[in-house]
Amino acid sequence: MEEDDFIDIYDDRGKILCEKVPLDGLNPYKNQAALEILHSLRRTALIDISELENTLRTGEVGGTMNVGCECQIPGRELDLELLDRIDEIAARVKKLLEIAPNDDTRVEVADSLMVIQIPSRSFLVATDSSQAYLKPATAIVRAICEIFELGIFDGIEMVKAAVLGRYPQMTAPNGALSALLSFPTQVEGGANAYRGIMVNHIIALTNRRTFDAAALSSVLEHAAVFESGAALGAYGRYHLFGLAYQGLNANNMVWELLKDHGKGGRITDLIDDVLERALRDRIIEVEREMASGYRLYAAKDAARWNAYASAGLMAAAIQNAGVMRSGQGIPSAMLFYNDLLVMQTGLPGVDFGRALGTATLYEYLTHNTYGGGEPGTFSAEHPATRGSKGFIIPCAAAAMCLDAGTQMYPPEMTSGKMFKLREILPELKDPVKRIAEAAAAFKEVV
Amino acid sequence: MKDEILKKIKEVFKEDDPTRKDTRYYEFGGRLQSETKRGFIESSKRIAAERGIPGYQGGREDFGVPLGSRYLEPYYISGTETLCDMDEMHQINNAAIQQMGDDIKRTAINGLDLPHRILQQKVGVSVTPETINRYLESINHSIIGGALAQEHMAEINPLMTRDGYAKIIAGDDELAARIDSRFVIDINREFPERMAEKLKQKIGKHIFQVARIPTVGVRIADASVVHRWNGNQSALAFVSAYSLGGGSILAEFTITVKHMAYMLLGTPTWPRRGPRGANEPIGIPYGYIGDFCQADTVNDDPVHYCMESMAISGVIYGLIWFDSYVLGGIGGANTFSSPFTNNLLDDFTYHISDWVKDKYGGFAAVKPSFDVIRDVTEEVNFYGMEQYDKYPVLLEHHWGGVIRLLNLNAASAIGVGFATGNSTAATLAVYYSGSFIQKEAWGRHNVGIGDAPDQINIPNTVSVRPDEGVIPELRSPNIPEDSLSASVFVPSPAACFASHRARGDAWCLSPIVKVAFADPSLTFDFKHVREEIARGARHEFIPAGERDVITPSR
Repeated sequence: MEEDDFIDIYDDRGKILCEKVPLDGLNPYKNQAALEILHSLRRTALIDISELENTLRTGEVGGTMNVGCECQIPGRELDLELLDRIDEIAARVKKLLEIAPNDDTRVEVADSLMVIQIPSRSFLVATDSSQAYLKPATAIVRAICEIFELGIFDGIEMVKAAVLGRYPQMTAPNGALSALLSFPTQVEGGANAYRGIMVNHIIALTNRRTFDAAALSSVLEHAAVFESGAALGAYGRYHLFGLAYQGLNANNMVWELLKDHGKGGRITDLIDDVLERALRDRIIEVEREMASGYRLYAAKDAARWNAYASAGLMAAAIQNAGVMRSGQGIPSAMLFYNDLLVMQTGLPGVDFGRALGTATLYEYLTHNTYGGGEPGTFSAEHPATRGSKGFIIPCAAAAMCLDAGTQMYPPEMTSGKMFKLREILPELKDPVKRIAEAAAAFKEVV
Repeated sequence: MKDEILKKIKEVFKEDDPTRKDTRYYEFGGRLQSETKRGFIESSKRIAAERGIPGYQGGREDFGVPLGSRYLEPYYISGTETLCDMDEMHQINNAAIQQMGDDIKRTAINGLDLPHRILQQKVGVSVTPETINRYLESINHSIIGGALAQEHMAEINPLMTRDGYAKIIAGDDELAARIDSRFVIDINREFPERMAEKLKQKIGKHIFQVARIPTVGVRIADASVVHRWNGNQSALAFVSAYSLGGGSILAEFTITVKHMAYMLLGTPTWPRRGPRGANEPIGIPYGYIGDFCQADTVNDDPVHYCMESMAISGVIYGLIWFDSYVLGGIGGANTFSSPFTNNLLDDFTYHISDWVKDKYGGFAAVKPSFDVIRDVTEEVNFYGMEQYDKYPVLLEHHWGGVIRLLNLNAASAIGVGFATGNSTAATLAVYYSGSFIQKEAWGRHNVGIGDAPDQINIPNTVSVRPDEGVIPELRSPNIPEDSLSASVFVPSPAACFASHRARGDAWCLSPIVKVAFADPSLTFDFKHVREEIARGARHEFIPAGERDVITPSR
């Protein structure tokens, strides 16, 4: 870090949350709030007990369709009143998962949803995130078998199939239990697990609060970068500035851009504003002026320039979705923001062109028959969106919060359980505020 | 042993006294005793002369083990009067066997309810039987390589893809009646009333599309091409049939058609297994073997249905998966064709079927228990072993431990399945048969890996631990412990289809899959499995996916 790498963080009302905190205070290894968010996501599984009960009652287990179930095993239907005994099941699951009495194992029940957090001590032994699935699943199956006194030929394997699906016939579980991180075999490439959380999930986890979605998504993205080693050396500063300006509204830049240009503004207005700020703050300078008056700029501080540009990108995405109250145009807005920025300044676009390339793919695949769906159904680990590490999906997550129900696969449909999760897990609430407070309390890790 | 089966065995071995124990060696003439192999030798000489590289050299005696020690008996295809050389059972020599695999691999099934919902809710158009018919005309153009977006795109010669098409399945008679009958798999016509009612009730008001991409499609790529081929062509057919404009609606259709309501017949595999993509044989769950088989729609005999299903298991998991993908093409054909050749498994199974009916008063008439598993498994194993002891020609025919094991394991699974109607109990019979009874009786077990998978799988079968205890219908050879031995993964489906047949179920794992393979337009007839294999052995089966349209005739 540089000596003057300090930032201020503002909330979604433009109110300052912390002042002149060192940039390293946002480091995911050092910011206590970020650590708590990441740790919580790693160890959480959830299961709808009512859904599980219905699955067993109908015998529909092991299907491969995302919507519906093609499989039904006649004669294996099980009529177990699971919901009536949900508290008993929860208590037994907790007991089974505890490594030491009264450790931080958590099993919470909200209506029919059971949220399970495996003990933190598990991670002293863990090599990957599979335990977030396998331990809770085994505990639930065992608890049900014990409580309902199921013998060997009474359907134990059916309960297991309902909870874990075909695993390990399939390379990942496909039953009623899910976790926040993808099963390791479904993650493409190393250190991408944090990037596998779908945009719609992030929207649900933050209850459609735009700046919170930006923060949560940004923390996940940049944490993955740190995990992979990609943030070593100069890239550490580069990513922390990106996290600060794009994800945490550093120096109130995103908020001010939206306030000034939200009504009637165009993408080019946002670009002009970003340029003015960068010139004012001596982040860039005019390198050459052509005979036509066209100016070429040069960055004096590439990491800061990228942070400013990425804040503009966030504003462009939010503005576009906000004025339409629709998320479908978000990838296009990100594409054209980057394209115009590069053409107008001669400076590198966000993430040195990676954001432009990623937005182009994202736009293409959300708008044609070769595609992969609506913006909310993508995650940062998708082949189309993984190209920019940290700078595209946070914009999509934030902007998609403003969609007024125009999508066929909205968060309410794909991620319904996640809305409740935010109420159960306080560490996921108000991420901007919590990360800012942790940054203010930052002390160098020894 | 049944007289008619023994008569055929005597004919196969040219032996009047099948109990005779003395034998002869080194006087049979090696490969030259076989007309088929003599033909191979002659053909290979011509090929070597043409290309300048030697290939098959079956006439040499310095290759491999000493030749001529054994009589090369011909094989009856069980349940038929077709007698052929063993080489006709090799998957490369038998077009019907290949087509069975291709017809499964090339099947794509997806729900149409979700796309219809998007059309009605988002696009604002009505979906009616008329529009569904127009869509089906469109998909039948695009699924075989006709361009829908722009006519200047290169298209596929329809003669190359004449076996590709798409139809629908509907549980609702009224709806099905309003769809062009060319595009409907008619449940009422293809199934006995008892089965049809159950299937229609389960499928209900839902509509599923069953597409068969052309066989040539799975011959130029692996079977995972089916998912994409179907997804893209279905999306384009929707665009055309409903005049959809560009933009987000296309992506919504694509994700819906391609992913949201798409079902995989076979799931992708663990990395150490290849890895293989979707619809490859290793990822097909055991429960689907009995659903592919349609013999129960034309024959009431449960043993007949089980034998037809065992032929599918032997072909899909044995010949196509293990002998091709794992063994590299040679070494498995005798073993994996044993469930459907020379009627021995039929004999074991009829015996235990009768025994179960006598002992328990009918099928699925006793609760599963270890006592029942033990009683039934011991009965069928002791019966089979006695036959091997009594008739040395049977041991000569089932010359490898794995062949005897595979068939006795399958008969054990069928017996316990018939008795209990419970696939888990029947699966335990597979392992009990292999790991205890035969090992104890014969002192040996299988090939080199011995009884390892059986020993592992006994505790695994009813386990709650995460890597264990998968319900038999959902298992497949992709489960590491199951992948190791043909004596496990070929007979294991029997635990499922025997149990469900005993219960009188209309399907084992999926009513949709059951109906999809009742389709009379399929190149391979899944109602008459062994007769189709016999046609392949007789070189009378006409497969799809050939390239003669675009090649000079030989």
